[in-house]
Amino acid sequence: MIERIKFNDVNLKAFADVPDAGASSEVWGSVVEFLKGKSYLVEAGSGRGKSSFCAFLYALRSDYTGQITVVDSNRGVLPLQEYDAVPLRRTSFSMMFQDLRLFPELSSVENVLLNNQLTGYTNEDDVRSMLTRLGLGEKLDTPCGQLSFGQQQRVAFVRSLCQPFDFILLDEPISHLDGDNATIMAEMLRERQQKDGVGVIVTSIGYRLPYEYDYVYNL
Amino acid sequence: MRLLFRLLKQNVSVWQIVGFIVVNLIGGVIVLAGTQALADFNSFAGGEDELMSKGCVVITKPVKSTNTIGNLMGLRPSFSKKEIEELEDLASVSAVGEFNTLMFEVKAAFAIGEARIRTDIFLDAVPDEFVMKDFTPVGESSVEWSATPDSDTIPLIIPRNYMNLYNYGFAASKGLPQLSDELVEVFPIKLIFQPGDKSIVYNAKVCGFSNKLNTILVPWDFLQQMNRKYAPDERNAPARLVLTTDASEFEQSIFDYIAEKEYLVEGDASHVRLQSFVYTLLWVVIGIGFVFSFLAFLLLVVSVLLLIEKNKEKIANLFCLGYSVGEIARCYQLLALSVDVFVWIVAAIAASMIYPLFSDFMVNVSPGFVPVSLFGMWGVAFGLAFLFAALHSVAVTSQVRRICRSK
Repeated sequence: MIERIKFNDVNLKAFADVPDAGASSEVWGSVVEFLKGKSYLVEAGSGRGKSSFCAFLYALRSDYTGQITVVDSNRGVLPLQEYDAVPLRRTSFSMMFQDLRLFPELSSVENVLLNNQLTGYTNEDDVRSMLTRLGLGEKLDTPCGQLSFGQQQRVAFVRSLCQPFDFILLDEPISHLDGDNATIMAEMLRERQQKDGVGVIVTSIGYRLPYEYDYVYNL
Repeated sequence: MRLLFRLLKQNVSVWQIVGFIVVNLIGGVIVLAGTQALADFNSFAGGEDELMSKGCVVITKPVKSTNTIGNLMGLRPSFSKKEIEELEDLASVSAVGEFNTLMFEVKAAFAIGEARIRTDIFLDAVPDEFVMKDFTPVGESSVEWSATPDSDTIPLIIPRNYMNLYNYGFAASKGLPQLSDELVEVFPIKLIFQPGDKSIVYNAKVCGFSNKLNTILVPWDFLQQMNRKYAPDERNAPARLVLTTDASEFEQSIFDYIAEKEYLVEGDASHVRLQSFVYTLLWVVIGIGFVFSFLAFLLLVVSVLLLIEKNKEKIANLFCLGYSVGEIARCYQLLALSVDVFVWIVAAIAASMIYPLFSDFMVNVSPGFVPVSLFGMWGVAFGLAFLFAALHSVAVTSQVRRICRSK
């Protein structure tokens, strides 16, 4: 179980040749910790490396200097890169991708179940109920390719909730949502955080998920 | 895993799979029918007989007009030590055995029905290791292949074709009973050796048949001792030699050498050559089948790799969600496995149906041809199916891993 994640003087390698790149960042080149049970908002303008931040955290990429370490209650302190990506993504980290990564030929429910069947975290009825709560009751069995981007965002959000995790990483989760759906999404996230004490990391380029953040960082 | 399969099997090119199935079926049927033919032919040609499997020829020196006078004087053409050594030095010859002849008179006496037969015969011996390679025991014969001048009973090995000559020629024309292998085993024979004015009688018993050593054989030690004892002054140079060679090296070069030296090949040299030719032909046929199968194998590899390439984005996304390379690859592995197993089972069924047309024909033209069980062929089919599936699996996994690592 991962208790905390520490960014220790982490910088994009791509910034190495750019003078003052990341100079005003509270994350790049700094020491930042993300604790389980807390909620974080990471705000950034375009070109500040927000996608890279998410990719580093989710162990998709490792083109950075410095070190990202995690404190694991079972394994102690160790670099994130030493974790096997497959169990990390099944049990420790969940991510809602900015580009969603849904499968257009599968329905909303199937997209969620495809992820859920890796861990058996929940069941189909709960999946349908969660999607319905986010206003997708009429679109449960519609192929995702036929949904609007906003609807797809809600499917991707439900998918990210339907697995065990210590930290959830939401990359611009409400860029195409209205206020009501953003509020429902925040409620569902809060319920999960209160239930399991998970860490929440949300990124934004200005349009914030309405949530009670413990810390706000500028990237 | 139903959803995963549904997702990853999209973009399957049915025509590519059909192409693979058709080409592999052609190759598979050829390979399997060829394998079965090889097994049958092996059995028919005495595949379990080491001598046959290794190849064997018996050679003699020709009787020439220039040495006819010598022959009349009792000097037979024989092989010198140098000539034997040259034969032994040939790369493809594994062993050379000398025929030794009893150097004095011997008669055989036996009774068949009411007919009492007493006839001059000749006895030869070759080193025991050559005899044992060409030896087919009679029934449950317990006679050991050894004897000395002090023994009561002398074991004999007679050529199989002598039995055929008697049963289908002599016995039939004289109204005598035919002899089965079992009867021969208990058939009482007396051998009367007559060195000079002596007469020594032994009981003899046929303990087996030889397929290629075309003479009446007694144990090597017995014949040597009898010659030493009763004909010590007789010159006994080998007039016949038996050559054995490993099957894989049973090459034309032996026959070229024999022809160059003007030696004669006894008996079934043409049979041996034909056998060698049939083996070669069958391996060529099987090879052609394998070419088809290998091309089909490559076709399926390309088809599945193209399918994976088309689903590259899905695979990368699944990996991002937490699916392992193995779980993603399993879908394609199962696809390849099921197609491979299906094709080879159908090929085996087709070969099982087609092959009897050939084997029935062979049984009709060659009464000794008995097709062996098809189990071996089915074993080959399953073996190849799983070999192909394993190779497909490796190719698939490496391609999926490459995609996952690139994301």
